Amino acid sequence: MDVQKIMTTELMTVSPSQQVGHLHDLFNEVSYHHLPVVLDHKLIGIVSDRDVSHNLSPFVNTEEQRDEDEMLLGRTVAEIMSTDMITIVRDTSIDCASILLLENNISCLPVVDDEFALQGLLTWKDILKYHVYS
Amino acid sequence: MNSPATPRYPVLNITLEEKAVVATLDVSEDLAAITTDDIEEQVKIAGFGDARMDKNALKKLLDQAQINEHFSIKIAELVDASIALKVSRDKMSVQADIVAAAGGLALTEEAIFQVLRTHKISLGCVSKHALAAAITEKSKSTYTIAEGVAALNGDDTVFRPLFRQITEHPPIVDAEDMTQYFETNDYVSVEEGDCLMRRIPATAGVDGFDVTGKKIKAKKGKDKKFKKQKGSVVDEEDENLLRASCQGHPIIAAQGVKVDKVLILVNADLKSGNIDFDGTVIISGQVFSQITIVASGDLHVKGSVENATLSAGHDLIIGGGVIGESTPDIDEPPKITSNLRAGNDIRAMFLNLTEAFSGHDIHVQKYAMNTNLTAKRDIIIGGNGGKGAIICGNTISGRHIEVNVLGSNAYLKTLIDSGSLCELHVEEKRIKNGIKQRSTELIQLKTILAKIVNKDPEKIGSLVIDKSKKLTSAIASVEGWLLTLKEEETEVNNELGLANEATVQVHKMLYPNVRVLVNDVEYLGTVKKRACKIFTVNGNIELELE
Repeated sequence: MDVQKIMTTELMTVSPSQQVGHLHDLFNEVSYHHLPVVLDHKLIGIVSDRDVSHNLSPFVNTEEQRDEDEMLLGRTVAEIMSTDMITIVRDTSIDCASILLLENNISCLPVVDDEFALQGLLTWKDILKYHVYS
Repeated sequence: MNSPATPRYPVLNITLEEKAVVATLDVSEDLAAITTDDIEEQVKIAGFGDARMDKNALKKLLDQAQINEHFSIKIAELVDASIALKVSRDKMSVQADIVAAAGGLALTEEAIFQVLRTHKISLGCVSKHALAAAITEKSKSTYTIAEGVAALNGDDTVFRPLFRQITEHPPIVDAEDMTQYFETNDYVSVEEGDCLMRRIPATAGVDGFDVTGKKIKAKKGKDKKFKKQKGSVVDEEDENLLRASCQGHPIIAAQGVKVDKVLILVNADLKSGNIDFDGTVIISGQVFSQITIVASGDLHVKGSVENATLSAGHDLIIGGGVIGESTPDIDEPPKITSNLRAGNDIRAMFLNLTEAFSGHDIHVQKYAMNTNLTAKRDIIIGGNGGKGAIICGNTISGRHIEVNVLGSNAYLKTLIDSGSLCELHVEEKRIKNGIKQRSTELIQLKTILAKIVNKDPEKIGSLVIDKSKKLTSAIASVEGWLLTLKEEETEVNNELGLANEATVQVHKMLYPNVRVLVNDVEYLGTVKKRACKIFTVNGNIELELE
């Protein structure tokens, strides 16, 4: 069985020029921990809620927020995203994808085509659902 | 009393100073006039007749002779023979530029060998004939003085069938206009123990050597063994001989021969029912409407086929013709209701309202009308003297389509499609991407496995063992997938090779209602054309009249 049968295809993506401040709000609204960064329909990076919190001051949106904290909100996604990604394709086997997730200690695998256009995202939840409910 | 002064003329002395022939003029009372011939005569008498004369010096000497003063000049030179070698880039030949001696030392065999040794040329490569000619050269010439010997690559294993095959003889058409495959004994049958195939083993080849004596290793021929096939067995005493292990119909397979069991029926009809046979099926009569026959080997029908489905694992040969539904409604378009499928060739007298697919070639004697033909390689309509017409329908081949008459006066739509480079390139890309992705996955999985395997043995527990088992299984699966992709890649490359040779050849008439595609490039004629060939050059369609 290959990953295209279980991957998530309804995706939220962000652009590299988006501000970290917006991303911070976005992560507070959604249940995702990772968002693919896409430019001209091609995957160029991945940004996680952890990347956002590492690059923001803990005083943001608090009474103790300072001017320099506010400046950090203006940074872009491109400045904080991770570009070192392990990707898979639609016909990668679930077994292979599971091993890559586990052994590389990552929680999601972007699924791309030959042109590196994003086609889906495979997370550990997708794999768990497959094993529990299939 | 003083007498008047007498005219004095110079005297010539010829001497040798190292390799220079020097002429010295001395004042003398000898009144003999001096000429060029005199000087040359003097040089000859002095023993330097073969020396290379300097004509400018000679002229200067003659001018000086008029002045009648002491004068000395080099007028000739003793030149030794010379040899200059040029070794070819691939070190397979040596050219020697020879200039003969002029009064100096001639070339000797030893002198030539010495030069060859300096250039590290092996004396075993020297041509005796060229050597002799170089030594006796009188003027200037170039000789191929040494040559290497190219390696002779070995031959691949050859598998030679030891029985007659049906394609060796053109079919004979009898008085009833039926193709007689059986009466000419073209149908082959073997008995148990009969010799089927001889294996001629690959040869090692013969090493060569270049002019320096360096060995050029010959490429060994590819050695292939017999592949086990049903119905045949390797001879106990001769491992290069294949024998039939049962009675039946031999079919050449990959690196061997399989012998099919044979089912022989008079007709395929309601009485026989549908047939699904593991072996070769022979119908000596006809195949009637709505019958399905599946044979894993060959399928031979002596008579005609009507509105039936025939499938052969190897060749499908029909002595008569094939027709679809016999009484179509006039108001409705004709329906294709006969289906033919063969792993190898399809041969028939004519085809009407038929869908035919072959894994190799399709040969039709008379015509293919309202018929869709698809062949992986060639489609030949009209070979062996048949009328050879394609009228209506779609005819698609991987390589070559050959027909006598294409289209008709009735202007029915006919499509001819030869070669399919675009589709194949898409397929090629898909396979290449698949190979790239699977190779990446393989590396990733193997890297993970290597990390696990290199752990401290004392720290390996059951979890690690389970992990490595799972990884090994995943790796094996990806490797299997990769192997399949590589096989597909080989097949697509073969098909691409065929598509590059795609042509449509019309021997008699091409009507303007025919749409011709050669490697997806269209030719749509507006007038009738006589014998012609249609092909592509650099992506452009070309029509060549014959």
